[in-house]
Amino acid sequence: MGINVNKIRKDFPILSKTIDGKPIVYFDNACQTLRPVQVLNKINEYYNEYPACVGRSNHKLSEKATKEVFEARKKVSKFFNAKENEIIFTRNTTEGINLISHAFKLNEGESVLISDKEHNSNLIPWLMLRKKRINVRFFKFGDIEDFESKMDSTVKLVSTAHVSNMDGTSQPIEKMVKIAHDNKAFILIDAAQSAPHRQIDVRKIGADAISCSGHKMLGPSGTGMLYLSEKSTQNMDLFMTGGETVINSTYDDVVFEKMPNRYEAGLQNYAGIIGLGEAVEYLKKVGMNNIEEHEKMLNTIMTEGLKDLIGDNIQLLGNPEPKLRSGIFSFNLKGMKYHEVSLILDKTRNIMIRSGQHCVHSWFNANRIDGSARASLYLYNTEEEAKSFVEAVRKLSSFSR
Amino acid sequence: MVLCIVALVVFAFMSIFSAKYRPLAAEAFDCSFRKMTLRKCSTGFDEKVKSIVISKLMMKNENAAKFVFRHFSSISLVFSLLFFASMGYSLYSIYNLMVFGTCDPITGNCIFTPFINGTTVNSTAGKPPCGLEGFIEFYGEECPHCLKMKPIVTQVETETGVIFNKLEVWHNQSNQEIMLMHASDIEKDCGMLGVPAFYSLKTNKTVCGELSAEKLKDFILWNG
Repeated sequence: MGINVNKIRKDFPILSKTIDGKPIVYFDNACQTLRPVQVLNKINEYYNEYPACVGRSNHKLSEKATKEVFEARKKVSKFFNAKENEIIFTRNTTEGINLISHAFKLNEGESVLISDKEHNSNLIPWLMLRKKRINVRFFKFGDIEDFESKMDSTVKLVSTAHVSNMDGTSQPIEKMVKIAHDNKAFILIDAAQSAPHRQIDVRKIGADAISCSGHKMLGPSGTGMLYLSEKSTQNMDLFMTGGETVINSTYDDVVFEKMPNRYEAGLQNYAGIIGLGEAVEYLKKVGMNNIEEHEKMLNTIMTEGLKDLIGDNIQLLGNPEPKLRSGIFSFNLKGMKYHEVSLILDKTRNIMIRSGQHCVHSWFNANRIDGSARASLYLYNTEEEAKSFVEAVRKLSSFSR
Repeated sequence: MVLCIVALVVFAFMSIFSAKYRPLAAEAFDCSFRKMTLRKCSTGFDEKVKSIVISKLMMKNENAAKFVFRHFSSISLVFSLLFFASMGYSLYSIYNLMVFGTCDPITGNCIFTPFINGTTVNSTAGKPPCGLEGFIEFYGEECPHCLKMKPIVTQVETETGVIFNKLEVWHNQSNQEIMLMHASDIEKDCGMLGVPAFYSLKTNKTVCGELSAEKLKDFILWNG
């Protein structure tokens, strides 16, 4: 069953607006998505009706806010097929990865294994560990044999992206989890680009931790969540400490909370969390499989529409098969810089894409590619938009001939 | 690089009047500095400027946009050279304006020179000659009356401190044009357009022919 895009678009107030008399074609979803009115209303509801602390005070407003945050956690945990105490609310994927990089106990001489195509969020936190004489090793993204060959007894932690934010290609994550666990390594998945676009079942994947962002899946900006498997917390220290992380304290001692509160220090972004709960509800109603299929269909329109130019005037990054690139079309035009492509598309047709190195500087530097222009799709994008992108890119590609 | 430098000058100038251009000026400065130190422009400023130009053109005429895109470097170089040439001329004109009181002392074709002693001169015979103020002596190189007047003019200049702007009109076409600009004033007072003619730029009055030193001094006294 497909999705009714026209009906969905009515839920996104910004899509009915125009800029310079032209509609908005939003293709920067890998960075941040738009929000439906349901999410916006839910955020407003918190501020208008129960703008109080959660789990601390005994008054009616606080009780209502506590209930709503509890409900949001329930919705998110159900969405990922996780237990409620396995969902830690964060600000973004980066914070979730930092939490693990700081809290997971690693000793000198032990190794962390990551891929060669990681977002800076999943590279820098590990590079910082080199100061503690912990090795950081790399395997080729998507190459399961290389991954397996790099796995040895020193590797205690694996952290890798499920889907590349740069080109949309994915990794056989379940196989990788098995390999990591066979080697007694903890495995963290950066699901920033997969959780918003396909069904993520944490039980099925079996990873120890999965981090993703709410703002890439219709949620409020600055929201995220970290799934941390209940049984994987033995080798974990704390991250940020303070209010909400403790049950009791004296001048000399402290008794820490259980999961997930022990990792949610200080007053949280309650409006964001409640909004995020509403966002996953929205996605659930539409159906993650439907969303995945819809994006693949649009990516196919784009790729097929430019097929004759790919390899000639267009350099396509990632797998040539659109169905293997999720909803991402990352490319370079011959004779035109990637920033020029994005700026011209924006200024002439309101087609909003991203250009640059997409925070994967390390991969671009290693491959001697300056950057790319990236169109990334989501459930509210239409076939007409995909076709107008094709037409616009074809036009631009003729500039350099 | 030229594009960045031109943009720097333009945006720096515009940012004096409007704060919205200041970030662009700062970006242009950063870009120029980087290019001058043989580094890449990190802000993408040059690409931004190029994209704005191409986008605007694309919405009007696609072929023109294509042409400009393909020859952007050459076109920006031409515009840059024109820009620097016009900058050079502007600086030269400012220098002339400060030193000679006119931006174009040769032809007098200068829009800033109607200002004499800070006030605009009301001339009945059109604009006064650029950069000139006080009195003019129109003379001809071989004119015998003019030659006779030479020592008298020198004497009057010494005694009064007023120096005539001496414009030769028999051979010098530019000076002829200046005289023609005041022709109606001169003819009104002298009955004809001849030399020597002593003309006051302040009152637009003229005295002509061979005159005594006293008469010339009187003229200066009443028309200075």
